[in-house]
Amino acid sequence: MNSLYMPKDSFIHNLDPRTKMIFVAFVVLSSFILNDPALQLLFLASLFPLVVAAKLVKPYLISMQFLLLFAVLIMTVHGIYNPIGVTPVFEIFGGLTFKYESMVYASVMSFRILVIGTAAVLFVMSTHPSDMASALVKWKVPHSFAFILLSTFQIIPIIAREAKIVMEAQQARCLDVKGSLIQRVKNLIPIFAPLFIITFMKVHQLSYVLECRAFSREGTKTSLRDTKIGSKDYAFLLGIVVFLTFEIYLQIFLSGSFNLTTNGLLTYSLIGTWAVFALMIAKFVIKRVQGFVGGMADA
Amino acid sequence: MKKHSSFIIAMIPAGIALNWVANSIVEMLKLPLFLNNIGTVLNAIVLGPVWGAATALMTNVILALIVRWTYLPFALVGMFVAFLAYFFYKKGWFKKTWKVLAAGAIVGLLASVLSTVISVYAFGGFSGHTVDVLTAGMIASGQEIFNAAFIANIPGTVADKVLTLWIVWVILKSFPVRFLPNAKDIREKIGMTNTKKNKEKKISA
Repeated sequence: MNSLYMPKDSFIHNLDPRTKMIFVAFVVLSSFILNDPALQLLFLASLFPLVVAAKLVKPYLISMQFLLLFAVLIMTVHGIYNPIGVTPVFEIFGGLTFKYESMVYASVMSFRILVIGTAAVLFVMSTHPSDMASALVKWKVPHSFAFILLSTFQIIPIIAREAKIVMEAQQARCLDVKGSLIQRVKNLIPIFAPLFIITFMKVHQLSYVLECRAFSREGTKTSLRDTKIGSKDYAFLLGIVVFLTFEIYLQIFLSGSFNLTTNGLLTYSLIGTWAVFALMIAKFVIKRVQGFVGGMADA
Repeated sequence: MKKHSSFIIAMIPAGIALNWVANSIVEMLKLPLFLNNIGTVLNAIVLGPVWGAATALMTNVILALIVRWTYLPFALVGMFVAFLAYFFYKKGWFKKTWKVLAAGAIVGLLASVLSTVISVYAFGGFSGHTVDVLTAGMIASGQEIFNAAFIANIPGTVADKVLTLWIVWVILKSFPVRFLPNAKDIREKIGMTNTKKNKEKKISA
């Protein structure tokens, strides 16, 4: 199984994985420093050019859909029901009012999820897992840890295939998958027992192979894919440092002197998430209906 | 421990894969569960609590890399489950069925407290599963956010952990010994030796 890695040739893909890890850490840190919805929205908007630069706009938007679901849930439920809210902002049907303080709280939380999600998607989609592992090894992370990370990507499809074989074999032996709830819970045992034994056999094989290749030998180990920090990475890191200083300056010296967070911004961001969410649902429904109609036509 | 180091290194990815694959098996049987700690508990018992916790951590790291990053904070829950499962195993709770079920209920209760705390502080009470709809409904009906998330979370988590411990226990009981690195210890703790039934079996055999 591959991770979400998308092989493309871009500025972000050519950066060293370590730089990108520092970048993710920087985004997480600054999403906590910028404790204000308007600033976080600006930060989110300023991350988008990087996504464009990495040529990942479409997969990025697809993977953001679920995080947007989070944002819609948090902003709606917290905006109405969070007890910290006092000042009413606007009212929808049925006397439910969105309150200012709780909307600020909810927007900060959901924008933080989106901002960190953007950075994480950018990192995962532009970094090959082997590069990630070799970068970790260069950071003095134990080699076995990097190996575990890498081999998991390979072992998941193997075990999934075995699980499918076991399930089909047991169904061929009259395993009832449509019985009562208790019967189905009991059926977990005849599926998991062979799977556990197969897993242990595979693990033994793998450990013999590792020993044959002198895995537990002391000393440095080399990797096929090598990563190097170049001038691009230093430029990127410099940009991060400048941005971070600017953020800290903004928070310490300018906080309170201006306030970008208005009722209008909160309301429009809420309505914006709702609109995108409605669009997603409409798309889903249309797909379903199309599939249904297509199925009818086939029949 | 040095002797089995490559076995441990091969076993952790397998545990992660089991955590992953359990989901599709449960889906096939159409059960409303996750069982996404089954490899963690197995590794905690077979390899020790630290490796079980490592399995849980790596599971969530992989999930965060492949699916979405919101899984990452819940690694703490898995690590906690690994330590608790090892604790109950060491205390000899894995000998009778009702004790295993009780241990599972306690693990589930504590795990759901921890996961509620994490989801409230990181994601406002939501965790990214279908349970979220229930949480939102409870908040709308006037519950506190923490209480709503906790009440929505608890039945699923407790049933999940009870079944996880029970399955691991039943399977380890009928497991071929030659695959386990510390088979003698595990057999003793699981209640395979020194029971009347087994002694009778030995005599008759």
